[in-house]
Amino acid sequence: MTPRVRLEGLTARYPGFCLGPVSLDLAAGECLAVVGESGSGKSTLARAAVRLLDKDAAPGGRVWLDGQDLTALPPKELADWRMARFSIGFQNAHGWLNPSLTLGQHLEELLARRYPRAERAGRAALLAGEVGLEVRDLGLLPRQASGGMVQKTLLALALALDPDFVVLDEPTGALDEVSRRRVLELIRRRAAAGTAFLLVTHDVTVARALCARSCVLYGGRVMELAPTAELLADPRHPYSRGLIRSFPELYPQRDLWGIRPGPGPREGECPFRGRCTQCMPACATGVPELAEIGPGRQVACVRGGIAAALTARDIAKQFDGKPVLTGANLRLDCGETVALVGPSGIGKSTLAAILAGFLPPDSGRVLVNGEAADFARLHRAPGGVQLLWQDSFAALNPRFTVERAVAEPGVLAKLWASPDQQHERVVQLLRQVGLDPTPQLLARPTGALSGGQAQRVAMARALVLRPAVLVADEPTAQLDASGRANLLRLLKGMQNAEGCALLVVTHDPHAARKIADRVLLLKHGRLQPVDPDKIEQELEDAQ
Amino acid sequence: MGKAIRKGWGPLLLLCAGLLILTLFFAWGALAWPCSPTQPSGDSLEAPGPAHWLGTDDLGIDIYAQLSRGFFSSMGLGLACGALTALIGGGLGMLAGYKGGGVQAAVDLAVQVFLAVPQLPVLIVLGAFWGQDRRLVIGLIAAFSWAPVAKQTAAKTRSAAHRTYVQAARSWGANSWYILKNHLAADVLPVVLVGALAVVGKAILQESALAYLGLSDPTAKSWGLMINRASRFAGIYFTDYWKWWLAAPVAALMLTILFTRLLARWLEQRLLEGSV
Amino acid sequence: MRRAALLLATFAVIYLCNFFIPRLMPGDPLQYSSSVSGEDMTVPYNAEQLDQLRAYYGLDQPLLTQFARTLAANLQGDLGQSIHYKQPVSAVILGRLPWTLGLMAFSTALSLPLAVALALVCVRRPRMDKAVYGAFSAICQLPPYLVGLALLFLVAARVDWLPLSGGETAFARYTGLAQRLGDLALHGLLPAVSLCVVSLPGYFFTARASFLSVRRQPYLLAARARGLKEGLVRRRYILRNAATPIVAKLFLSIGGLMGSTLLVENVFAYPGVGTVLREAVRYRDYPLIQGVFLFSTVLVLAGMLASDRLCAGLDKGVRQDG
Repeated sequence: MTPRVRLEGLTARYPGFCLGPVSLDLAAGECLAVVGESGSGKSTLARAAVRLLDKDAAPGGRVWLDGQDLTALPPKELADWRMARFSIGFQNAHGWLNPSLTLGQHLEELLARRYPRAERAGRAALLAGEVGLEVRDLGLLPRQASGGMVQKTLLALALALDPDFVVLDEPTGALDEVSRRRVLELIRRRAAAGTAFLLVTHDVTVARALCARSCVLYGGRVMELAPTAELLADPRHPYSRGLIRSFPELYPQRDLWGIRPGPGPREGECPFRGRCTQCMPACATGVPELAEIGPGRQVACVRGGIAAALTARDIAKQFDGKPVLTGANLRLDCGETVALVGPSGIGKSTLAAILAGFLPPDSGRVLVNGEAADFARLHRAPGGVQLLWQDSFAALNPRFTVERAVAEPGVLAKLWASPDQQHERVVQLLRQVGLDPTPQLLARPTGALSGGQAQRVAMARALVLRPAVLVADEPTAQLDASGRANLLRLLKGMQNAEGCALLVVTHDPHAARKIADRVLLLKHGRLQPVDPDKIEQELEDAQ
Repeated sequence: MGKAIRKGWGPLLLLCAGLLILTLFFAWGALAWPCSPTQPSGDSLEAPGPAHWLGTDDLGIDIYAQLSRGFFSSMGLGLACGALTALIGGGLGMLAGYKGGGVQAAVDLAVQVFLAVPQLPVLIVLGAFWGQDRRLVIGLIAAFSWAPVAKQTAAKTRSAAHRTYVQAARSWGANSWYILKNHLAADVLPVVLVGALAVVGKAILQESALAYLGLSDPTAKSWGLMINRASRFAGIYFTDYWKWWLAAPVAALMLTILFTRLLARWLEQRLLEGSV
Repeated sequence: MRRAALLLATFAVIYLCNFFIPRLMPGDPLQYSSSVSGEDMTVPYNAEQLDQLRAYYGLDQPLLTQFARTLAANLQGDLGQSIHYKQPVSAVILGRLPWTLGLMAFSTALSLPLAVALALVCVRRPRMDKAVYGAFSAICQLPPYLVGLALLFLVAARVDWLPLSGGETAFARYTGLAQRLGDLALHGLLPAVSLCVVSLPGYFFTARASFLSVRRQPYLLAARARGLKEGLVRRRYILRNAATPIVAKLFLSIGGLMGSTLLVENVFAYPGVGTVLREAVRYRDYPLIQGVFLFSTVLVLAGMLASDRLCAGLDKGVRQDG
């Protein structure tokens, strides 16, 4: 079956920005959401889809509507098709409306293309009712109207002639909750009647409410295309995951952290490479194409979507004949924060030590980046696995100075050619963990530090080798409430900035809820996912 | 200086000063004193006076000169034994504590055997056969002194090697030498040092005991031999001779041993306080 | 059990050493030994003695045969023939043994109660504890023979009722057992005191540590809470519970005490094994030296074994109680 709308290799180019090629199909009556941060190219795509780009932008590709190539239409015919067969509803701004015409006049002007004068007023009133405008509002000039009214007017315009394909750019951005629901209902109704909608939005809740499928745009390219429910529950591209986890609507309990800042898209390589938490050398050699990774799911990633940084399969361990772990399974994705909770003495630290490679399991396998973990190499090379020990004081030689302690892994890995390089990196790391790298501090023996300082120094040391996986064993166990809050924020911030996968072992449900993307419960020697809201109950049950 | 004393290093200064004074006193006797420690330089059994500060023995040999020679001989022997003990005991102890497993079991067994051996009788028997060779005496005394040092060193090394930071360093690819040098030495060396220092005093004593029994080199001027000769002089207790002939080496021996002993003890408390 | 095996292994090692030492000497050990003077008075072996020595060591036989023969003979209690005393070594040692053991017992009877009493007092008086502890840690390494010598010329030479040497008055005729015992005690007093001075610190440290650990136990507080008399508490609660380590220490220190005794006997010309040993050294009486060594080793190891048994028994008792 031919799709109602087919976008085929849409491209465009501005200074510093490059769209596409983007190819998407929309069936009749389908809503497809395009989500992404601002600057990801959503609006450019929207305009490219309705052939509205300047010649300067060198628009390329084709747009098919019901088998007709819009790019092949002569300009006059294309103008006739606009609003009648396909339309666009712009992002809310007064600027889109003629300041000397009232809202109603805008509507009537458009309705004049199809309806006789006598019908126009009634039609306009009907439309206004559909989008939630009062009839008297239609007499207002744009500058007299509120943002919501303008938005509703823009939407009414897009739908006025009942086109087959509608592109909506942030249709609900300026609306209150009631109007928003009404607008969404309207779109849903129109879609049911066969209209195809391309919804451009940075609001995933709109996508969730309306669209069966969504695509995620970054750097002018589609990063991921998937059924919306699946995309929200289980994003498979690092960018989609970062984007989706930045929404308080979806993660009400968690501290919010945006996608880590980094260099923007560059040509000839994966656009997300600069901010990605799992990039490899191959990511710099070409732009990945969308590829099928499952039924209805497509991802544009060199690594085939989010990769597991650490995978544990059927880990079993017993002490003195007493089984502590009986087949624990775990998948820790790149750049993800997972909390592992459980009551004290249930074997959390044992599991942490096994996952970090400091204790061999009796049976089961630990995989890092998809390969059987060779911890001897992973511990001592950059991009490996590091463990943040529970007791920072015990983990630091009390006689070492702060600088020497922090630099130790790097010195052993022969990371630096000169003492200056070492010094520079140590100073940078100390800053990163929130310590003021004065010469006095650098020269202080770690034995003379306070508990919080020691914890931070240990953290800085764990970061020297830029680990891909960091396992933190009860990082807040020895701190008071204030220190705990600081440390949690720091740990998460560090994880966010470094982009490593973080596994936090804790018995503290609040800490888990605050910083973790997912929470796992260790119970009867196995791991099971747990709803962050129900950690306390689960902990009690597990005891 | 003042700060050091406030911190409780006063006793150390005192002990070191005492040892230094002893050393200087005997260095003067060995280097600048005109009398020979082996040839008669006066009458038999002269009382202390300006010519012979500490008198002479039955052969007319100057006591002060003999004592001075004996001090360096005893000290040399003690230090040699201490060094040897530190080397064997410290080395084996570190090896056992660090490597664990079979090495540790072997060293443990050796340590147990040597700890169980009654030292003095063994020294007597071995001394009876080999006592004339001074180097062998040093070796023998060291052979029966290393076991406790090795035991303590091994225990300390073992506890230190299991610390988290050592585990961490090992995970970053640190080799044994790096770990010993950077992470263990500061903890372990004081144990070796204290053990070796204690051996210095003990070695001096054991050598003097051997000499007293007549089991050492009769040509060496050791304090034990002086005491042996003096105490076998018929009726010495009924004369005044013991006051310089016997009392001088006994006092010298006791002082020296007291100083090294207190020094070792002080260091032990200072360096190893609650950490073994 | 493991400990017993270890001690057995130790004994085997020592026994082997004892066997091999004379055979490891370069050249003919007998010529070598007799040609080097250990003391200013050298007694060369005569032909008969050399023959005896050769026969004892069996130097003309292969090593294995020698070892088998020596082992067999030793097992029958034959430790060889003393050259100097012209008697079997075992007879010489057994003859002198009572003196040595007696002296050791006498000195222990002095030092142990004294140390325990001192420790009991010191545990309750910190200032005194500090003084005694400091003094003892200073003297705990003094060589016993020096103490003996000091006692000899500081005390015995000044007082006419104390004998200077010997184990009993020569040619004395005793009118009764009491007089004989008094004579023995008088002769043994100074050697025992010098031994006592040397072994006192060791017992004191052990007793002190033991008392301190017992003092921390809750049952002591409970006893006081029941209003028991202080004397009773000390006897029944402190002493009884603290006794085991002290007794274990007693057995453990047999080795040290033995060595000290051998030396001190020489200072006072006490007719024990120590003087025999010195005579043996003086006359290069190797069979006798080795016999004394073997004998003292057995004694020391037996002491260690006893101490271990004691501790193990205590542990077991505790476990059964708990």
